[in-house]
Amino acid sequence: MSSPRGTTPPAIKKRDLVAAANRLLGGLASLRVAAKAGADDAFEYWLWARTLSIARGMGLTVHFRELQGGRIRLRTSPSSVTSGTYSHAEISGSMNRIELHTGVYVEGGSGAPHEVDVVAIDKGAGRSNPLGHASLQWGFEAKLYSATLPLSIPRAVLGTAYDLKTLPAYVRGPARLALVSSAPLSVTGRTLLAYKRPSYPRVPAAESVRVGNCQTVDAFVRQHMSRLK
Amino acid sequence: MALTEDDEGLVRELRELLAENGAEWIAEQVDVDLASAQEAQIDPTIEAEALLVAISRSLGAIPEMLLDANETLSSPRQNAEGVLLGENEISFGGAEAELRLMVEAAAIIAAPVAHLLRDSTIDE
Repeated sequence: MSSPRGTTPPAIKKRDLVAAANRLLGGLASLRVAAKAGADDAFEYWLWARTLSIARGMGLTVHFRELQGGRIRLRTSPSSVTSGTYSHAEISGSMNRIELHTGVYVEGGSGAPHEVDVVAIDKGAGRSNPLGHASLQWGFEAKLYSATLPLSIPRAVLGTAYDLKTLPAYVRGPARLALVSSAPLSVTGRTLLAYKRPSYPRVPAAESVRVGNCQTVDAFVRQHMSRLK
Repeated sequence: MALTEDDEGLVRELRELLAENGAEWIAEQVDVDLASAQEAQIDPTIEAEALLVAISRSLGAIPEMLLDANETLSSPRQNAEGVLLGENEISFGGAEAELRLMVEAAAIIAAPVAHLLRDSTIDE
């Protein structure tokens, strides 16, 4: 197709973009992570592994528990910490020992269960009693979105943080629940999480996250992991 | 300015690929976004850009994440060979070459909309 004289023709050919999309989407579909549920699982898996990478980088010891025939098996739907046979990681330092799970329910102050996508808990917690918020060391709410996060997401995360008592107003030290999203928040979403008022109870948020842009995730994990050393 | 020589055709083929591969959820999220922003008929270039941005923000990030995770967990001292996401297995070694091709494909998709893929974080 010709372009009007004096204008720059499009630099990209449609067939190249379609071929790239075919390779990406077809490849992900063959790994069964192109559908929403599979993609969400892959995002949580990465956050879980990223946390372990940081732990090892800080000199902490990481061991896998409950491997299935040499494979790590992670939850794809939320459950209690005791249901099913799923793997978790044990992270230990000189001061403390914790477990890192994906997709477990944690009971809030109200008694309501909340799914936390990636969660660090006290070692052994939730085995003889329901896993309660007092055993929660920190956690991530992971949201793989393609478009700007709807306001309902930060609202829900703030409600969860309130009930799990992870807001800085309720715990010593930094906030214990963070929102991690592949997409950006809206201005109102950022405001709701108290971006404009640091003294107000807040939920740390990492937006537009990917491997090359996860400094906020890394800093959040390091901040909490330093208590184990 | 048009993105390619045929943005309308690009939109059509991207939507078909998303549907064929079980990723129609991306097109659905784009439609919600476009519906709130557009009153009249949607311009094909804007729609094409929105689809490329949406793919890049979501599935486009996954191959590099899987490579990053696999690299962390495949360390010999960890004694694990792969990961099961439910019953779906991703072996650490087996998927690597294919994932690298997907990373390259994701870079091609992201290139024309790089200016729209904002690196924003808060609470640094």
